[in-house]
Amino acid sequence: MSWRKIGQFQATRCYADNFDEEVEELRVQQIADQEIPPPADDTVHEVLNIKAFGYDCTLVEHFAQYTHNLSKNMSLSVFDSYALPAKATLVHAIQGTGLKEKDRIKDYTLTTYQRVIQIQDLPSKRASLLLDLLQLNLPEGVSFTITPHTQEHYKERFIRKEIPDSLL
Amino acid sequence: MAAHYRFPYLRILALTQSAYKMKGSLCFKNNLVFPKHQICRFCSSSDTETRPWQLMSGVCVERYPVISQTHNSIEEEFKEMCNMVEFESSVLSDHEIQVRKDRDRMKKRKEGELEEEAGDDGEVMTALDLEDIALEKLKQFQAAPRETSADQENDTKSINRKLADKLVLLVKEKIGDKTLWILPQGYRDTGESMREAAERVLNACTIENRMKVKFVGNAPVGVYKYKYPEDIQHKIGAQGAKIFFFKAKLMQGDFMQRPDVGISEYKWVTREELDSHLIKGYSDTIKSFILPVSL
Repeated sequence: MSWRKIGQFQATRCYADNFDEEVEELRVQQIADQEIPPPADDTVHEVLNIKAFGYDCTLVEHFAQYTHNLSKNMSLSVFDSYALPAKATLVHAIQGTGLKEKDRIKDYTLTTYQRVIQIQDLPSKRASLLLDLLQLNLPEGVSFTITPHTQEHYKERFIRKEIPDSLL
Repeated sequence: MAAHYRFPYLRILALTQSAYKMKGSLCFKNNLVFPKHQICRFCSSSDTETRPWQLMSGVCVERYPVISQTHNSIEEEFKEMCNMVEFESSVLSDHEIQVRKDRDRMKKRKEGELEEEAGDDGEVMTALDLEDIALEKLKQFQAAPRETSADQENDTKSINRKLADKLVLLVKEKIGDKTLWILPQGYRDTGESMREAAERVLNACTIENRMKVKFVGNAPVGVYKYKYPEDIQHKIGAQGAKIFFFKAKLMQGDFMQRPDVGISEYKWVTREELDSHLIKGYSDTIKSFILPVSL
């Protein structure tokens, strides 16, 4: 597993045809594509993202730890494991008339916590077993999804910075 | 031939069994310990041609547990203890700090120390009020019962039975001259993969679009070999059938039996109830790939 700092400067590629487009590109910091390793052969899956999410941080983190340990014990190679920033959801409850002004509760904030474990080269024979174990040991209040890893998943971890005109 | 036997009793048996027409090296029917350098294969004395095996796909449709399992007494006690430890060692939350502040303010106001602030008309919502309102709302919430009506009637066809357990679909089919409980299975047509055969088998059993199922992976999870009796071997021209099982998860809907297919009955059973329905060898194979919910 490589230790990669988020936001580290990487060599940028220029996709512009002329000067103006190049200036436009420089405004937004370009992030180089990640080198996602292809599957080793026909019998294994590509890099898969297991994303656990929920409202309770302890449960989500413990489930992420559980999947990590389970994959290690099943001799699957864990490509990377990281946390995505927590998403705060504002729930605005519209309550009808009838209650006094002070009895109405209007707004709630719910935070969703997310953890991602990436598994590389999952053999097809063990895929159903891993999925079964994960589903059976899922705690209440936590959900998980498994998707193949794409460049979009990688790029959304970065904070896109606008470089101000004075620097250009 | 007698010279290279290490144990004398083998030589005697070899002589007595010479009446059998054997192919290749010497074979023994009984459970004997013979030397490691001898490799024996039991051959049928009647015919020597090797017939092919027929391939079948079986589908194991599972309804995953809807609710979590109930805790036993030790787990309950441990849970209580963990909660207590966490509560005692935790820091005050924002809400609790606000409650304490409000309480101090009320006390000070009663004792007349705090002046009436401008704009304070006594209608301010304190944190305690918020807590009371929230508790009132919680009392109005009714959780659904853990044991449904299907549990009470013990309706084995229902999908709502045993919400804390995994349910597996079993069908009753006529095989040869016996009707047996098995997982839905069917022969593989030429030119299709085993997984496609499994999907076709499942679609053939149910009415279309009633049951949404998701197959997991392209690799089968188990195999069961069934050798046909002699007369059927001659009739069909195959030695037996190998059934490869595929796992499928029930996403939504229910099994709706098609009236024209050879299925007389169906049931959704838990892993513990499998033994009472299936024959022993089949049950052992199936149990190896159906994971229990709690170990």
